[in-house]
Amino acid sequence: MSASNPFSGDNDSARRRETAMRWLLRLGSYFVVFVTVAIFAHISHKGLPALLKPEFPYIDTSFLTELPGTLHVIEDKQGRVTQTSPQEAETIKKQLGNELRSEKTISYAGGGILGPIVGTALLVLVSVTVALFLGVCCAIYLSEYAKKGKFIEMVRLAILNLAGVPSVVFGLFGLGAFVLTAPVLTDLPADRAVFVIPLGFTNLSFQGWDTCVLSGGFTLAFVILPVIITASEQCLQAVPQGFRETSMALGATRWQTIWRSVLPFATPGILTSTILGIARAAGETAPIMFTAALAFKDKLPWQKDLPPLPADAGMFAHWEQSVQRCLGVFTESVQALPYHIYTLAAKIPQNEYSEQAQYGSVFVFLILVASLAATSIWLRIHLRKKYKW
Amino acid sequence: MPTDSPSATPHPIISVERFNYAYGDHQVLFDVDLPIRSEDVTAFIGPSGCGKSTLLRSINRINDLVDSARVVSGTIKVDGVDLYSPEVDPIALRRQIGMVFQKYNPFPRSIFENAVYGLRVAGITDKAELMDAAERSLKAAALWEEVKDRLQELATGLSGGQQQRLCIARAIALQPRILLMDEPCAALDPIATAKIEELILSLRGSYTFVIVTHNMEQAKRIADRTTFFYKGKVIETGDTLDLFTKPGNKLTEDYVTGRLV
Repeated sequence: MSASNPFSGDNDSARRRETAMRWLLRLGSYFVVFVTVAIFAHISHKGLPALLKPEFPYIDTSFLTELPGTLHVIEDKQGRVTQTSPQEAETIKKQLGNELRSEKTISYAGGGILGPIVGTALLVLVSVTVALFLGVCCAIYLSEYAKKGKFIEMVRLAILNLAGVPSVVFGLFGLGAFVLTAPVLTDLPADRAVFVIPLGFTNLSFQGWDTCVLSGGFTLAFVILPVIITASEQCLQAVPQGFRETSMALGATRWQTIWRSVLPFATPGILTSTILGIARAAGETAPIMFTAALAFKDKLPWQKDLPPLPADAGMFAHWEQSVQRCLGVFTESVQALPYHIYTLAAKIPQNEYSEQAQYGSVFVFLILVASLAATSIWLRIHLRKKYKW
Repeated sequence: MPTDSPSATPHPIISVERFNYAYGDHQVLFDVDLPIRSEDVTAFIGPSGCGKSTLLRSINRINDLVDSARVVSGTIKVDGVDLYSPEVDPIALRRQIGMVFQKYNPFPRSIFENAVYGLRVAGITDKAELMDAAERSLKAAALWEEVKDRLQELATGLSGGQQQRLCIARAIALQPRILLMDEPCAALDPIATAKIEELILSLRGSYTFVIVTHNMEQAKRIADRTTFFYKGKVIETGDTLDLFTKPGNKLTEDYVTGRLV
């Protein structure tokens, strides 16, 4: 407090508080970064080995291209340990003969994770298709057609509430709605059908879709629907009102205006939010637990046993069977990455071998989600350049 | 109380009759009576919030897009047809009454697509017909020479004045009879403004212009007739020269001499 310097400042306690607050805020931010980096480092450190092998070219893709299986761990009397598949375990045991000291089997932890990857991809495909269609319809209605008022407030409240519903509740809803009651067209309605509407040529039976990709995908769609609606509506609102007025002033109808002068400029944002929705859908476990996922399945969804075609079957029969195979994937239950991770982590006895498979899956899963997020960022930057106003 | 000079209503193409208009419970136009003559340039002047833009936007019913906007009573007739009667389709109406907005806002599409937007939404797909229409309207908007070699480029790359002329071209591509302009030069520099004014004067006679402007000098330069609005009412309407040189109302006089804000 020098008399010669009027700007020296004299409120020490305010200054101390300023410094303390700045450090508190700064440390908070650093802590968040630290936790993120720690998670990534830990998972990479533990999970990366699942994708590596000691000899050239060091990358082991079998983890990505094989179906999960039971892992056999064989130790001989010299203490050499071999990890192998059930088939090879037999050969090795024969070779070792009396040298065999011990054999351990760990379910689910062997082979790769192709099944779960394919399953997750199918679930995401169905859920995003459904959620995008419903979500964009809803967002367009809310943003472009509906008048402000009680009804709109109610719809918005409903969407907000939907976003707050715990995912396990969605799982139970999916079980009740899609697995057990959703309608199917069938000539022979099941006994468990809630009710059956005869259509003459066939029946509309409310007997559910069983646990399958379709049930799981629809359930997941409702999990990500609030995100997609909210984000799409924001993107539509971000399109200048002037575009709408100008378009209407040039004699366009509402729909022409939306189709030509609103949607194209909202699409980049809608796509971005969709990709984030994909990441969310890919990561949910609870909604698919009762609706689509299996802990173990030794076949890919299209490897279904269909009756063999007669040798003289024509082109058409082959073609028909291929279509049947393609559509069939949606009515199969599948393995999925998050559920596979859950199985490895919580359903089997823990040891170093299950841990490697578990961290390997988590690592692959994390890479998938990260690349989806990266795609969304790239898409946003790229499309923004194209559509700016 | 509108004070009308004797020559006011030989052929009113638009006639506003005891028109009351509100946003929700907030009334913004009170008993507006206004004949607008065919082929004239009519300017609406008045301080901000006086209702001149609302009236303009009611003529092509673009204000229908505002949720709370409603006609309280009265009519706007074009050629004797009440624009707010149930038989009138606002879409068809807007094809015949063009509008140019304050902020030039071409769509972020090519210059060509902007010029033919109205024709496309009207269902015209013939390439040659669209090209003809684009050329005709761009020429009329005095923009053809500047853009004829880059019709496929983004319209948003043009200068502000060019963009606004493109918006005018876009509106006249539909060959409307009436062109409404809501402060068409408010976002432009003086040179671009001069070009737009020149354009309006060159198109005068081909269309009936109704122009909202804050710029009284502009009204003097381009308008045949001027209407002064104050607090939702038409205070005075008359030939532009008369209104500015010998205003019949104290409020008009205060406004045109800059004493009323």
